[in-house]
Amino acid sequence: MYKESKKSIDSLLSGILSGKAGSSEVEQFAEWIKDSQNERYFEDYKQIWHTLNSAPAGEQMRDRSLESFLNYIDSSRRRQRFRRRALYWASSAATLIIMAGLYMLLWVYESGGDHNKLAFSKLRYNTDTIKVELSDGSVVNPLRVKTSTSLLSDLIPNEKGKEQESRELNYLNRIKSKTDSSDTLKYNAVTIPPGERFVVVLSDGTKVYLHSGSYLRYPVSFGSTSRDVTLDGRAYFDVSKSKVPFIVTTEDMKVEVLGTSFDVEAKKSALKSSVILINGSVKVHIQGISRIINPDEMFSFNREIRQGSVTTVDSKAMTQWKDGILALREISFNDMLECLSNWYGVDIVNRSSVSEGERFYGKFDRENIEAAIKTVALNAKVRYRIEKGRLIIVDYK
Amino acid sequence: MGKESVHSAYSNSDALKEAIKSGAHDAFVYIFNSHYDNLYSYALRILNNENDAGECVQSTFCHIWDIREKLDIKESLRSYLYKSVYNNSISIIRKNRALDKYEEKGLADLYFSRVIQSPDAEIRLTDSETRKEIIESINSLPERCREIFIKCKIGGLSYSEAAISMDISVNTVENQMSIALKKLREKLKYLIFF
Repeated sequence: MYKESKKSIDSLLSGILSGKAGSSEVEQFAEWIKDSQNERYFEDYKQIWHTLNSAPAGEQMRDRSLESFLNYIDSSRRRQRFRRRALYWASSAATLIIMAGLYMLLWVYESGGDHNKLAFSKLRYNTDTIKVELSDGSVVNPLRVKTSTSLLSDLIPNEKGKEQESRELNYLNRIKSKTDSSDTLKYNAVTIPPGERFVVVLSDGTKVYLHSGSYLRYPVSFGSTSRDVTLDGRAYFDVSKSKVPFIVTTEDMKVEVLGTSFDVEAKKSALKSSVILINGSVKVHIQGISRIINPDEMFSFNREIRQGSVTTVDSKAMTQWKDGILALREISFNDMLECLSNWYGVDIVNRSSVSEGERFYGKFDRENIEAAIKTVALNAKVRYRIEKGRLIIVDYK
Repeated sequence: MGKESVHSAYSNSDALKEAIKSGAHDAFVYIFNSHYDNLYSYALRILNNENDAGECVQSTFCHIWDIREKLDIKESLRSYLYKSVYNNSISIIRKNRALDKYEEKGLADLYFSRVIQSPDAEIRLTDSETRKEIIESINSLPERCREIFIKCKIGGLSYSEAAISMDISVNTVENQMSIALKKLREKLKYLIFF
């Protein structure tokens, strides 16, 4: 009898200290410990429990942890440099608004305490590099090209040894070589992996901002009768005015302009493609029909039902990604994670049960994945962890 | 003790604190190596989760790195580290909502005053003779006797659960337990525990 009662007390105390006790046991414990004799018993029990539960970390774990810590020190030095540069481009805040039923929640993330940064250093970022395929079929990484090496006959990069760090490839000052004939255009193509973005200035001065996970094929120098490029993915075009029409060809549409700024999203694998117009006017040819789009309008084409529609949007906000801020609106949780995965170049696995019906609105700074994920976690009421370099999203409990 | 030679690079604790303030790489490696194991063990007994404990200690060091320039540690570095791990553990516990079962009954005070191991108590226990004596006494028990004692007393298993887990009879468990308790009672008289 005595033994049995002792045993159940030890089991209760063990549960309390190991955190396994449920709320009724917590209540039982609160009652039990009011007795001063029991309180002393607990103090003794606690000493023994802590003494005998002191599990050493193990050398392997300590070494791994030390390595991550040292990485953190190194990357924090790099980050400090990087952050200063990033601030130049965009405010380092991520905002996300969710609409869930009747209430709306707004949370502005401020990057305050940095001490959880560490986990993020364990994320495995996409390691694919930006690739430019030259007309002779060779493939180069434009970020690695030293301007002095004229390895590229196609490419006459930014003059005077300007560093390619600017993530820009410039064909504007390209001088046509004598061997070029006007009817055989030489093409280059650039592929942007997830987590990267890039700018190409075409030979006519048109500036193309390429989104993560996109592909653009374009002539090294445009001919005199047309300006044609091919896109898979998303790009923002700032087209130089000219009498020669500028045409973007995608999987299922052609977008034709004379001189204007617009955004085309047309990924082969996606359900939807869209065109957003900032100013001027564009003509979209799709399924044999032409459609004129006005500024602040978005034309979307649903590939499943093969139907297009035009809606009014805030075009400036929707195209902020070109300046390093990804704006998402009315998007489902899964779609949002997919966008973020592409934007930051990391694998995100969703194991949470966030309803597909919930819609998310948010803005994400390119440089701060941590702020982004924390904001998402807080608003969607999920937790995250990093496992083998991937970000795993799970339910709170 | 074997760490003394490494420590000699910093003639005294003030020199070490200064080195940390200035961001000296080897000073951080030194404090990491000399305290990691104990801090991890401490965090693990608060958080009861290995991942959380590892992350807690690591992020504590990272935080100290982040704020190194502003650090002004009046107490010993060791006690500062334990307090930091303690604070960090509490925020992890809150994040995990592990305190809900206390808070919903208005018992958060009980948790903080009685249940959680405070940094002071942890340091006192680590340095105490009691701790050594407990370990020595437990180690002096025959192996099976020790295993049964730990399973029941510390792990909170009932005699029959312990019997099943070790594939022995409940009678054996009872016998071994009474042997363990008898021996420990002799050695650890001052604990009313047994």
